[in-house]
Amino acid sequence: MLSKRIVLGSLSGAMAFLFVTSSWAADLAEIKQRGEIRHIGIRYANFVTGAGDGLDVELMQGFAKRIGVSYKLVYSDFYSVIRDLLGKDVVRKDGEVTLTGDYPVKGDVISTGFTMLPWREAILLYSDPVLPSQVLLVAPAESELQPIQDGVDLAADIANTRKAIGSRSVLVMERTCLDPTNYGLVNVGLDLKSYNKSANLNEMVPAMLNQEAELTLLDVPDAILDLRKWAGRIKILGPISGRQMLATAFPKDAPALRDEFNAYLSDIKASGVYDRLVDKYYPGIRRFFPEFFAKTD
Amino acid sequence: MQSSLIRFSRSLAPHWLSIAAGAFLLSMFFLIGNLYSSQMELRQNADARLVSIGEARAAEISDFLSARQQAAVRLAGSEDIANYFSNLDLGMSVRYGLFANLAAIERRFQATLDEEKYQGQLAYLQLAFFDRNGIAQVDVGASSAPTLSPTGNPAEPSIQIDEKRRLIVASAPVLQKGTMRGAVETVSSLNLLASLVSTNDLGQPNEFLLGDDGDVLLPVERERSPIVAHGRALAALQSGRIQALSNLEAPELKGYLALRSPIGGTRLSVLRLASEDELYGNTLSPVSVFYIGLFAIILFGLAIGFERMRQNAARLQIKFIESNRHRAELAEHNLALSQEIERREAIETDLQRQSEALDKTNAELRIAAAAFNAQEGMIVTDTKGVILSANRAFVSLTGYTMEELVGQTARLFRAHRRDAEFYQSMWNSVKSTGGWQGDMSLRTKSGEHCARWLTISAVKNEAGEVTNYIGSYYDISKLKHAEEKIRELAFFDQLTGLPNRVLLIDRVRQALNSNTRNKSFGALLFIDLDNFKTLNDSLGHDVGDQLLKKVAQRISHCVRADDTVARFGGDEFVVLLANLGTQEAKAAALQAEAIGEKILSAFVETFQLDPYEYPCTPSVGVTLFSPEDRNVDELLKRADLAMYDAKTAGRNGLRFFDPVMQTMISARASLEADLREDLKKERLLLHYQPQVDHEGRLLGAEALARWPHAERGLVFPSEFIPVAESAGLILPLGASMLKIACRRLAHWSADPATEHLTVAINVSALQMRQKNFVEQVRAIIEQTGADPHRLKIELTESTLVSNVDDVITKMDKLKAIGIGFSLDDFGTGYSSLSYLKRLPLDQLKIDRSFVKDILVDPNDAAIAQMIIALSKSLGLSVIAEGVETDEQYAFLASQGQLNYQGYLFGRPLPPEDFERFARAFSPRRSSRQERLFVDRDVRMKRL
Repeated sequence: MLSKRIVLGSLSGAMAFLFVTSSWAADLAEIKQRGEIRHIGIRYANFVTGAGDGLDVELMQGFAKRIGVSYKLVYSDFYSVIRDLLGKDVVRKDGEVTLTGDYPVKGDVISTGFTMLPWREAILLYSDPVLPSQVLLVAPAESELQPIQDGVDLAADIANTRKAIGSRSVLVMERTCLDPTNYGLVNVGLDLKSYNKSANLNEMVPAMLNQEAELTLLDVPDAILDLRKWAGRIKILGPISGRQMLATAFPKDAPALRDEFNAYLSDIKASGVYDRLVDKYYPGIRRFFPEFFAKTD
Repeated sequence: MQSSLIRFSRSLAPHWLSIAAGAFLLSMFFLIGNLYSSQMELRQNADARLVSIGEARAAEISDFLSARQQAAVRLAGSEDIANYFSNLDLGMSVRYGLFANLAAIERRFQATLDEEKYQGQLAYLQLAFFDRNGIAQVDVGASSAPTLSPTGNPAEPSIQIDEKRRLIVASAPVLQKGTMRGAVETVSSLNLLASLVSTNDLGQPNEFLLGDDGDVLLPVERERSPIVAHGRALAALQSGRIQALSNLEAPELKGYLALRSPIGGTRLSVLRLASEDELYGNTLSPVSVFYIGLFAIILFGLAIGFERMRQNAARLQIKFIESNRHRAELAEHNLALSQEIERREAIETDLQRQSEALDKTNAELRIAAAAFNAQEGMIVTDTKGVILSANRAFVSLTGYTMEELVGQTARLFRAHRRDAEFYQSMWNSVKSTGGWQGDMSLRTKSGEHCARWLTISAVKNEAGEVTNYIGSYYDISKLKHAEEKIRELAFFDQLTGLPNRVLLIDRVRQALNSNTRNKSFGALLFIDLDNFKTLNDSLGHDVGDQLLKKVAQRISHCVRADDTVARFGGDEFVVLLANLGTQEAKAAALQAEAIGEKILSAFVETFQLDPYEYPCTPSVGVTLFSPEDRNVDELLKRADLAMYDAKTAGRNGLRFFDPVMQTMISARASLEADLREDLKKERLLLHYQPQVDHEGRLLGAEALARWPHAERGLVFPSEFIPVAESAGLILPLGASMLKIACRRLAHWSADPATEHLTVAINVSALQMRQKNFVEQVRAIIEQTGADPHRLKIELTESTLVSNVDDVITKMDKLKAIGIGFSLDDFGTGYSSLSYLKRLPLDQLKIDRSFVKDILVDPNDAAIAQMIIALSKSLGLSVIAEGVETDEQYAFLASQGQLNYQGYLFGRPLPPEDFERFARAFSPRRSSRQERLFVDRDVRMKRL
């Protein structure tokens, strides 16, 4: 019943979105005519570093070059990123997603380590997966909690990890990949503390070490960086979620643009360009998701 | 004491060579000693160098191994490995945490593997990180690298050589908080060190890396080396000492030296082999030095032996030379005798030849003496111009005695009127052609100058060599005097002393040429005295002449030194302002006007004419001439017109040639166009004026050009010839006239009444200058069939102004086919004896200007007389033209038998009329008839 509502809500939202923003839609032809593609990015891990580079920045720059247009990076945050793409604000209520209001459209594509989530897929077109991810539970090094022992399968590992939380407070960030709603952590008796000082996921570990919560959720890309950055200060207890996929998102009315991007992604995976970019920005992630990268090798 | 020393030294003298050889032997021993010690020093240096190289090679290998060990230590202590153990201690699993640390270690190892190189090759084959249990957590390296097995848990960094797999394995423990947690191993190929092991020039290895048990590790290609079989013995050699390998049972190593250098910190050592040649090169061994010493002793013995042989040979040679000398003296005596016989025979022959020559010379001398005593002065000089002899006439002429002349050169009586270049040219001519002639002024002892025609002839001997020069001085003083007088009369007005019209025109022409070069303006002022005719008629010519003289003086005072004031004729004066020094017409006009006004002012004061006081005014016409103006007549006409304009305007004034007068210039242009057209259509004619001899017999005619103009009627040469000259038509006009004259001559030859007549035709200077003029005339004669003996070409003096030699050549050629030449206008131009004598002329013509006033102007009469006298002396006939009156005829006839031309004997007639006239003169008629005809004609002309 819940899923039906989501679908209906998604469709109505999409229709409304299409109706309202049809005049703003920018598919491949319009972008080529305009001569510029606007990439909406969020300063997040090594996807968009904020220093003008990052995995997604280089991906989109390569894509712009492929379709023969100039490239422009438009910064956003996790709260505004969809509004900046669609010109509509997203409202999720009771499992329904609606688009409201009228806002300026600031870009043509979201590419920023953007997790593929069902509610997002209701209002956006996703490309093929760009990178896998997973949400982990992290504790300070001095915590009495010990990392779980590797279980028989992932579900067992997730169950053991969630069990370890107990009454301890957990730092989360809504509307992002660390949104507890996504992983069934809400309303199950957990002490969830929402981090809202900024929309930057890079600040989750420092906030935990600053004792704003006893534990924090952290995605794999951030964990790879933080394990070196905070070596000996934090420890990963275990997984909270199953495997997720990060991908590039487009407006629903830009299928040609999405298809062209998928073709581009396929080409750079075949040529080895993609692997070099991954090793550059996320060394070690191939060890974590060997099955994903085994396909591309 | 001294005498005993001398005796001692004399006793040693015969043995000097033996003593020198002994001294040489001693010095050789000294040198060989030095050689031995220096060669030993060189060998010691070579040994030290080999030891140094061996130690350096061992140090390089030691450094390489040390670097590998340090790399293992550095990796073992890296931050990534420390992080790994920290997270491991925190209990993180590999799946959910340690994977990131292992990835970082792997990345670091991979970077080290990729980046570290030794001599361009990868320094490592494999890098591995083992945990405490010896399990490889990270293993990076080429898949072809040998699988590593942990070397245990080393407490210290170490280096191991895996000789079988040819690997260098460096390991270092991973220590954390003092506890050994694992190990890092690096693996490198032993072959990396191959480049450190050198080879000799033939590519054979001469350095080897030995293991502690004598295994030869390097070079890589070592299987065939005899060193492999003897490795153990070589490894046992004492280190740091060069040892010969002669005691090894290896013939290949015979003669080789070996040095073993241990590698610090290992049990390896470097073995370096070198042959004696390689090591010591060209240094001598002690045995060689011994042989050199022996050679010196043998050399000493040989020297003693050779000395004895030399002394014997010297004694034999002295005997041989003495024998040769006697034989040469005998041969010399024989030669002298035969030469004396030849000399005496030659003297006899020469005496005979000289006797014959003397007879011949005496005969020639008799002839020469007769010629030498002629009336003309003669001198004989040697080849340098030194006078050897002079005849009596020359002694008399110069006033010097024979003694004063002999030994001098011609410089003694040179007049110094010629420059050095002239004399140089003269002597060049003498040397090249053997002679020279020309007029020369000779200075006598009293200082007088007398004109002589000098002929220099070279005298040559039988061999053609010049031996003497003979100079003959012919007296031409009378001719010179006449020439100068003619010149004076020709160019200056006798009354005023001013340049006359001829000279003026010449100077105007020069001024035009000069201004063309300088691009500046000049001016002509034409001055006519107002009412002069009235004065002449009323007070007589004497008073008129007085006025003209004074006017000449006053005008002369008004102009600059470079300007010319000329009497143009009657009461007409012309002032030539040759160069006004400006290129602007306006400035030039102002200057000319200023001088004109000055001249007008000079007339303000009345003239004192004895016994009258006469006020006289002039009218002045001015014309400027620009650098582009070329025509003198045109300029004079302009000035004349301007003068008339001044007269018309009320006299006593000055007028410039103005645009109104330009219309007349335009008319002239029109005339030029008509002339060009009519010439093309052969409309110009010849009229023929009779020429008669002193008895009135018709000799022929002068052909005179006439132009029957369609609108203006008959135009005379005085009008159209200048037009033809300025329009460049003078050559076609001349050719056309010559052709017409020749046609007429041919026509006359068919008629007995005219067959004997000649035609004289004027040829201009321009025509004569044509390169092909002779060919042109020949062609016309051939085409028309005219008899060249009946054709006479009249030349003007202007023809002779330049390039006389060319004119003479052409005249000679034409004269050779029978054409005669008459010099027209003689006395009006540059009459000069120098060319007159050289020209092949037949006739001189007295110009009509002289004949016209011959009775009233003593100058003209004198000129005419001079011309007649000159003609006689040169053997030329004379014709007077412009004879119009009986009085003129009578005067001329009184001077000699001349020919005549003029109205008195007939006007120029059209050809048909002239032929009728000639028939009346026909020689078939009686002389009485002829005379009557002449008389009748004369009367007719008078009417």
